[in-house]
Amino acid sequence: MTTISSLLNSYRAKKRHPKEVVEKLFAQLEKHNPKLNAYLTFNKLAIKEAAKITQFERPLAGIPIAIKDNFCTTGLRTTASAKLLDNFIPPYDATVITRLKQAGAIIIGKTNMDAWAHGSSTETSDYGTTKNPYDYQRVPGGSSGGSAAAVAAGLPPFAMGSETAGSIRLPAAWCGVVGLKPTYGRVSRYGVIAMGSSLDSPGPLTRSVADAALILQVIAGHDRFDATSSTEAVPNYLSPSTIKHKLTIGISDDYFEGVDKRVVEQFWAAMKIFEKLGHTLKKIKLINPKYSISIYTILQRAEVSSNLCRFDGIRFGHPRSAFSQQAKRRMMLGAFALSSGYYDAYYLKAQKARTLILNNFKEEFTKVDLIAAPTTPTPALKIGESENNPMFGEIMDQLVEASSIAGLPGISLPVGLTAGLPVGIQLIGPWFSEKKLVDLSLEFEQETQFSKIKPPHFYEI
Amino acid sequence: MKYKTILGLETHIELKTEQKMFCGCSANYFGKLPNTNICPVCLGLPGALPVPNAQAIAWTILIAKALNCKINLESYFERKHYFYPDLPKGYQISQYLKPFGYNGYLKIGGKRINIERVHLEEDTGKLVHGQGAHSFESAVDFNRSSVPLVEIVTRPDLEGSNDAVAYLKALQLLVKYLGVSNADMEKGSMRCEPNISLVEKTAWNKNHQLPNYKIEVKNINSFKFVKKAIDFEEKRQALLLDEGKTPKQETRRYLESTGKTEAMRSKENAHDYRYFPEPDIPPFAFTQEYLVQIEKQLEQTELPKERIIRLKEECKLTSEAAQVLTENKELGDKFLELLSSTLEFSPIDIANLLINKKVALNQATEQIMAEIRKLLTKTEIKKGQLEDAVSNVLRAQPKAVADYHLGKGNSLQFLLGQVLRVVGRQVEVGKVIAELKTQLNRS
Amino acid sequence: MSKFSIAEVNLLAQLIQLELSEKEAKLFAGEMEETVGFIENLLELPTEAVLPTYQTTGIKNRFQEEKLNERNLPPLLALKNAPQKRDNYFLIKGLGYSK
Repeated sequence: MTTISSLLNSYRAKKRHPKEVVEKLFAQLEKHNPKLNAYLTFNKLAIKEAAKITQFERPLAGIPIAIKDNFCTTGLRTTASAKLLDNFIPPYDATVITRLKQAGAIIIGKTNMDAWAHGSSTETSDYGTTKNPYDYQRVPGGSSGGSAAAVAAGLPPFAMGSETAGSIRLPAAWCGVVGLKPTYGRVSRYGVIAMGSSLDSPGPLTRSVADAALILQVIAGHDRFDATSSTEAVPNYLSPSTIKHKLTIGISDDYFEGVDKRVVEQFWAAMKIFEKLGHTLKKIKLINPKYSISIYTILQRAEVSSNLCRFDGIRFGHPRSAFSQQAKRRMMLGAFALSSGYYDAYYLKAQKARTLILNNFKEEFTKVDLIAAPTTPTPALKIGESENNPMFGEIMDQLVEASSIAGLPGISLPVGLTAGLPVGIQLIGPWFSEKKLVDLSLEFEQETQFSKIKPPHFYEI
Repeated sequence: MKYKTILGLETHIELKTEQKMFCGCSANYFGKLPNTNICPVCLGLPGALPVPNAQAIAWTILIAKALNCKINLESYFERKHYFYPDLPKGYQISQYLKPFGYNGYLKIGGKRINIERVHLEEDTGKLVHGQGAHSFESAVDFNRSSVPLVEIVTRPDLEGSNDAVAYLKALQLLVKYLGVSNADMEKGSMRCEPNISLVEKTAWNKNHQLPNYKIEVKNINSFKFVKKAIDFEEKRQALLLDEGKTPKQETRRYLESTGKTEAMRSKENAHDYRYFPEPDIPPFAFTQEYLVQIEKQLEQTELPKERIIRLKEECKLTSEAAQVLTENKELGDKFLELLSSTLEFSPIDIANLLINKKVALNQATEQIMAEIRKLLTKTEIKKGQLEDAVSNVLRAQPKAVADYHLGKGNSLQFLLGQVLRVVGRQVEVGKVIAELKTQLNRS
Repeated sequence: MSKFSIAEVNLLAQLIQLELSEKEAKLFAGEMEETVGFIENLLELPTEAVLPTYQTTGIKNRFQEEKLNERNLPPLLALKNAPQKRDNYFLIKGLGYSK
């Protein structure tokens, strides 16, 4: 299996060169992307950039990576999958992009997403949905659907996504890959087209845990251009495991309400493995996800309605009439929640409820080290299945919303297939506990070898 | 007058910090080619994030303290939403519920004008309108976007245009002495929007109830126009009230060309700003030590009222001279600089030269001193000449002589002036006074 | 009880500069009603004794650390994406703003 380490090793041993890797990747994408629709824009300079590399000391030297199309990339079209921005060419790089480039990574292209990240399926992309590599009749999840699909198909197996609530973890679960959502503030948001300013967290999607850790290592850390980015020290995520004693993993009953029983089955099978590895499961009480849906809907849509005010068609993009219905829907509810007369009952109330969520997690983390739950209530839906529900996204994300609202880190791990479709479980940790999440995930991966599970359409780079 | 004017002023002061409020672009945008002084942040590009300027905040608190405000040690920015082409993000980062300063005052003469709030926000870009062949176009220049702006709002304690001008002048001076702004109304670094309404005097005297409307006036860019706009509004509103009508609550624009105000398009009036705390900027929690530092800075800064005292007491200048040199800070600064570089000449003499514009100041200090030297060096007068001049004057001014003997103070000054007219001002004044006294005491 | 009449929906849309078709306005009126109904469960949460959390990071007093003009955009780049421009200005022809 190709990982970042194995690629770097082959480069250093002069067995392979990035140019050849990237060329072959593009050849495959030319064949498969038209159907898969994972990418919106390709970086035409990628092969040239790959060819130039002669040294391989840097942590991601010559590693091809797909970038979700809400990261600003200089000179490379960035649309957030919205027609309104179909001609936007940023004059600057997001900090994440700067760090990836400095680490030697080669940007292959920009991946498809729900337009403006407003969704959990990628169907609301203004450029058509991406297909799920496990079943082309199904969606990959969203909003980082393009990245998840690319990674699942190995095209390449490394990608950047972002999560406001679920946008990394859900598509990771539906596409059977690893999705790591860092603590809010762990990774700079500078240059990421904002959705929910107090929630957005850029993070990697990969096939292996080590790869996610390696990418996080490169992108994590304080950024003076993002006032909400943390100065908390970045540990070495791939140093030997910090798990000296076995962990206690918390599980809350509320997180099984309305969950497909096949998913529940897979979840418990995974929990058995944690027990086999010597860890203990413990019952905890988390606030019911139905409240998270409400809190998240208000906070996110309010911040969305505000963040989309800068799109007035004067300095870039098309006029506001180019907004899709989904974007309008979210902005309307958001503006309502902030409007005079309703602010206290909705926005302020939701921010207060947020404190309850935070306190709940703080309390439960005194009893357990990490929390586990299914990532999603169901496996991947069929294309078109979600259309009639105005709150589809928020409902599908109910199991990840609380941790996002609290700014906690979470990782979704593939645990197996059910009726041929991937199922994911998530581990949630206290703030800045990514190291612990990585350590436990590595154990799990070692034991289950989940990266061996591949979709019918898969390419080993 | 049947009506009492209820007037409040909202003033914006542009801070002369090095960098803009939320990014590292230069805050000194004046005169730059359009759209050359911008970055992704102040241009409001997707993905850009604001990071606050510490100096702007410190200076805002300094202003607030100089205005006797209470300070919110815990404070934060909020987003104020409205759409306008010169506002790139579609919202302005400003303050709402927790301004840095509140409940202060500024004294003008004997009157105390209460200050409701002092808060910090970012400036917008500039909308410019086309001329000639492009007269139907409008265009935007974002060079000014996100320059720090301090907003100072008074309670409606002002009573008319004279109050307004006095307040603005005092505020302008204060802010100049704090060294935080050039506060130039013509250049736009100080802007003022009056809020005016009228109330019938009898009704006011009964229960001091504020009228149920107020008119905001925009587009005023000089003290002269402040007076004109307020005076015009008073008349306009009085006429309406006389007819039994209530003036429509609205925002009006002052027109320089006519000296009148006109209603602005109603679209710009309807605002639900949808304020909420700025999620991209963590809140502030200032320590007492921080506040103490600012208070110290304030103590060490010479404010206008302190300068005028210094000029009168230390430099022995007359009230008038001291006032001129205080109100014109640059002139006063120059005066003090020159004074410190020489003991040759009396402060009064130097002051008079400066006030009466006898010396060109746009040159190096050495050259200025050389000119002053030339103007102030006394010419020698022969004793006989002086004796004659004095006795002639005394003969010509019997009343003044009599007054002198009666002990009337200004008579000597008067006689001195008369003598100097004859012998010229370049003569050693002390000598003249001595000769005058000698001759007067003889008679 | 309907909080959302078509008129109210249109007013809200106007506030955030969105143009809605008649169909959309009708659709949103119904949806917003539905959504607001769903999120009403918030009332069940006991929030009297808590303060709002606007920032989960707990960060305070963060200030600029940037060199003068560090991120300055040269005019070519600054105006690169402008739909209408002339002489280094962003044009807003046809957007109807008063002088």
